[in-house]
Amino acid sequence: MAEKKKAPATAKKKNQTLEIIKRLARNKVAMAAGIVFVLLFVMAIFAPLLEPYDYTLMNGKLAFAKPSLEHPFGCDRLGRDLMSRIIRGSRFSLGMGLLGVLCSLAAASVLGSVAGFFGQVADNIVMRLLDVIQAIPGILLTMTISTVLGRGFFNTVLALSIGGIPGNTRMLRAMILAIRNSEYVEAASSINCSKARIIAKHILPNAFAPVLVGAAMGIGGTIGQASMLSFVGLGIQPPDPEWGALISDGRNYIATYPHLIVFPGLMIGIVSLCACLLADGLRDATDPKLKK
Amino acid sequence: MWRYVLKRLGMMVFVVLGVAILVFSLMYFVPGDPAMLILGSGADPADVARLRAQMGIDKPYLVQLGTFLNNLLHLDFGVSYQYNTPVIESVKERLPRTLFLSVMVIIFQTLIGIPLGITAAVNAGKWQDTFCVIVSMIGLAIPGFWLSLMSIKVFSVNLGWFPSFGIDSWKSYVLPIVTMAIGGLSMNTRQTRAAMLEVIRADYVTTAKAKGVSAHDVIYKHALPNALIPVITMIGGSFGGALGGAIIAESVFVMPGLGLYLTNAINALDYAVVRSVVVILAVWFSMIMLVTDLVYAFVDPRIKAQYTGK
Repeated sequence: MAEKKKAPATAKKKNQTLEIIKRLARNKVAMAAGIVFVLLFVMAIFAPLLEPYDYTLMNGKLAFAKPSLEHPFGCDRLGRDLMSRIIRGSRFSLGMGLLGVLCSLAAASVLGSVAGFFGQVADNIVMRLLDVIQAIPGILLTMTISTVLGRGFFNTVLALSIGGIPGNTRMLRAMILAIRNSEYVEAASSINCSKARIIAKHILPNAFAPVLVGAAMGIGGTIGQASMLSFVGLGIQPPDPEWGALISDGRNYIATYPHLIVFPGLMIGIVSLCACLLADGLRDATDPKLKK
Repeated sequence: MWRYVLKRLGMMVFVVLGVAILVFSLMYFVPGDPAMLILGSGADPADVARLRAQMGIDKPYLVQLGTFLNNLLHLDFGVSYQYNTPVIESVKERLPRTLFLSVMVIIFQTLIGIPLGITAAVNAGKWQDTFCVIVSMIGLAIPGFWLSLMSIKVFSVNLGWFPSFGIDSWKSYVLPIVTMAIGGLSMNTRQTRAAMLEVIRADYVTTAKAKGVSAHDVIYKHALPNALIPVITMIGGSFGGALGGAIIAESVFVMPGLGLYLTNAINALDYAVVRSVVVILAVWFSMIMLVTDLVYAFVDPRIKAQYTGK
């Protein structure tokens, strides 16, 4: 009996997901951005296999080598192949972007639900706390937390996610309040749905799409922030090839060897652009108002 | 209306107090001993203990917090161990430069971003729109500090139009302002376009069109004023981003502002400087947000009505 009941529900859900994917597939720009985005993550996962050279291999003869056929992105001040370093660095940059956004959203969804569900007092406490935290401008907050936590991958991920919590919590709280007051939730509670069922079956699925869009949007911004942290001397530091660290490593040679900072910067730009385009496409695809 | 102003002012006092406590506590739990840092790791323990007592960091947390807040009230920000000068003197000298830089960034991005957004929305679907959407998308994606570095390469090194560092003349400010405004400019364009498109679809705009109001008047007299209301909040909110941009720009262009002071202090673990600068910038940010909220309340009749009606 229970299984029989389950089947149509999953079938319906599948259809909706399919529908969204279909609509996304029609958006060629978003699809292209999405494919590039996925390929970049594949590159990060298989980085050791894809690097043309060892990313730590120094070769004095090749110091500051300009881009050539053997070294498409050139070599850095110690003669290390820049392309290999960028490929390896994608593990740091993309990893920090993805983990930072996920941790931030997880913490924010707890805070946002507390604020959205548990009445005036909880809401007030959370929101006043956010007022205080958000009085410190974004990058300054992340820099301060990063100073406290110290350098390194996981400390930086933590700093980035804490820095993202206030904005994400506000977004989630607003969304939960809007959904909670919507008519279909009222309808569900009028036919005596339990609170747990309303949250699991009605609120969460409807909250999922905007969160997904926010996450896609956030990854680009988080990677940019991570590189900014490395640039001011926090975050990941050379010799680790995080993209921001590569830029700060090459900044003193900008006048003569600009390729050292052009390529890492372009990579950050490409990832952010793809994330942005994908997020826009996802938003349109999941917006029922735009259904044709 | 005055009730609203008072309420916001009261809230600001608490927010600033909260920020001071938060920043102090964060810095309090930083691993490492500042006294040890100043004297070096091989220092005599007796010397370290004496310096700790002199700096007041041997006292309990609450006592230190109380002293810190009390000093803040008297505008005493402590002494930078790195330069051995009172923080307040450096702040007095450097803060105006950072504020100038951020305000110029805001002016620049607003004056260009908003008209671009309006143009895009008015010409929705035409090439102007596509152009603005693509440019603002790219502008959002490119990291500002990278753009600054590239502008140094192109406009300082290759063309020699602007200096690459320092604050000698007005020319020194051109590259930092323009490159740091690109991100906010793109954001302004996107949000103005979205706000404008929403208003253009509103019923009262359709009514105006139906009455036979000219296309020009519909857009600039009926739609624009309402579309600009959310834009005001956006401008105020972007002050935070502009401050962040100024901090990074000062680091790239070696401009002796508060941002460079802060980044140097972070790397030298000069905590008295870090916490003072963060608190000062947060206070400025809160004041700007207060002004934004008040302007918003004055221009939006719905908020005004909430307070004058009662």
